[in-house]
Amino acid sequence: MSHYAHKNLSLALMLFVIAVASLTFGRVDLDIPTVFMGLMGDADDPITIIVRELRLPRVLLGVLIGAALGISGAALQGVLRNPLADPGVIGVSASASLGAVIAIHLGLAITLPLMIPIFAMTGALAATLLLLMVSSRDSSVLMLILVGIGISSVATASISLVMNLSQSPMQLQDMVMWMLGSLENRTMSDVIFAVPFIIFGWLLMANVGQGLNALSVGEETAQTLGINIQMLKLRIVVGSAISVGAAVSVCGGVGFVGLVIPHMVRGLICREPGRILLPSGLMGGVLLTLADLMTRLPMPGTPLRLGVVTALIGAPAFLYIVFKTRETMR
Amino acid sequence: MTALHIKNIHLTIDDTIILNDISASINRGELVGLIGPNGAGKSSLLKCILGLQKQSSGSVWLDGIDLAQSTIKDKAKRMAYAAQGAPVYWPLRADHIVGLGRLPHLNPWGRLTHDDKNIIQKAIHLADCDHLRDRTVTTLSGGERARVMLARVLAADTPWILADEPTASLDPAHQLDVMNILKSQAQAGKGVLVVLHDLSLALRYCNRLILLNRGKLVGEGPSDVILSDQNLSDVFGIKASRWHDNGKDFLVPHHREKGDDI
Repeated sequence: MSHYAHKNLSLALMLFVIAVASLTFGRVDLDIPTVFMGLMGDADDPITIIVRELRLPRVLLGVLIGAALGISGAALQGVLRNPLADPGVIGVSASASLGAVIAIHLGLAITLPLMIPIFAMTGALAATLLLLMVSSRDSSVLMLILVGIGISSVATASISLVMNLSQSPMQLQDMVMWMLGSLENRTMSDVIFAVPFIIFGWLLMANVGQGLNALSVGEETAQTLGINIQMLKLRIVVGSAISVGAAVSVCGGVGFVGLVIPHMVRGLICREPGRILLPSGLMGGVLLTLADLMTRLPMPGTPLRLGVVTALIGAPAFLYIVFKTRETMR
Repeated sequence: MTALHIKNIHLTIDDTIILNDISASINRGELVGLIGPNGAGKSSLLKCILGLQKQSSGSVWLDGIDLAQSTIKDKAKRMAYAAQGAPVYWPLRADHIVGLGRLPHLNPWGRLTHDDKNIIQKAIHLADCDHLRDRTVTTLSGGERARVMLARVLAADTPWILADEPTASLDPAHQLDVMNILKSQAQAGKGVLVVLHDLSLALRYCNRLILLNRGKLVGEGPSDVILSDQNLSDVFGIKASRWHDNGKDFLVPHHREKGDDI
């Protein structure tokens, strides 16, 4: 087995171990056999409920969302040929947040909790459609980034507007808390809502590896190597927009995962832009599950929010990587 | 059939005429130089042939097939391109960059086979990059990077090679190496079209030259005919000294038509 496959396997194993650990850990600590019985439905009722309905959705979402953010970050950095790109640059995260904030403002979340992800996903899809329209006409890297920043700015301005118009402090608090991200109190219906979008996004990006590798020598040369650049861009932009949109819809704002994970993979696994997608997905899952575990540590006062933890880990890690790789990244 | 025919290519971008009715032919087995002053349209013509730039009118026929009818993948299997300046955007290992040359021959999920790896190895050796293969390309000098790119072009093993100023930024020894490699590729039966600024190299190595000036074809023919005193003066605005040594022709520009000599 190649070095690369070996490292991926170790990462997958690590992800599995952390996911299982995450199932055992919580307000009630369970041992592994009990967790297993809980999953199978053989344990006492309360344990089955804790494992299957409280912890399993949370762990599944952590793995899926981390993977979605990691893969999208790696693919976008590759296609935009910019190590500073992250899923936020195409404006989908902000648009999803806008949808969620509107749902909270309208008070829909009280009657139907799934309304928040539905509104958020609608926002993400609207942004995706806009990106699609623009990039089918002019898909230069500069244009994509500028339009992404434009969408992001409009969405952020609209979020401010909705917050400004909000009359109840409770709603305002809900909005802020949602934007800080969390996997608390998520149910299987959240998982079932997000999975199809995330998988669809991944399928669009399934075999972009050769194209991303070829782009290392520039768009024109890549085309003379037989790569349809237009199609490659379209698939990556739409694929990551949809999977990140779904991720943000169910867990709120979680920053820095998509930006930092590809850099960690380049440092630890390999540097070829077309081969970092899979390990970025695995490592994204590891990071988000770990971050979620940290939010569950007993703390005095308010528990930490997921987005706060990822930013606190991600931002210093990013600075460290920038310093370490500045020699080769000129 | 085994030839590249450029037929009446016009290219206009934003009301500026870049190429004006260019027609020329190159046979396989020939090393043909594309020369002309800055802004003559040399790179644009190369891009029209490669399909990177859509011409306003006219057509390009390669080995009997209209390139407008062939797919990106099909073109990639038949023509390899060395871009000007050899840009690289990620800190990758040199042998990975060379390996990209095999992409046109792989299916979308394909991995490099043993044969592919042998071809890559040979290309690296031929371009004198053995000592660079484990280096990170972004840490290489401009000349070293240009040689890695030449190795990538050789690894593609296509019947046609198009190179845009492959000798720019190379030291004299490696300029000769690159021209010798391109010459031997042509002698092995490939068609090679290369943009050159060094007229002496053009005269010595190319079977024929295509001379452009301000988007127009000035002439196409044997190197010594195209590099006549008249053309050097009219198109480049220079005078040159020539001499003959060891059976080879040399040419050195020494005098600008207008302006002062130093």
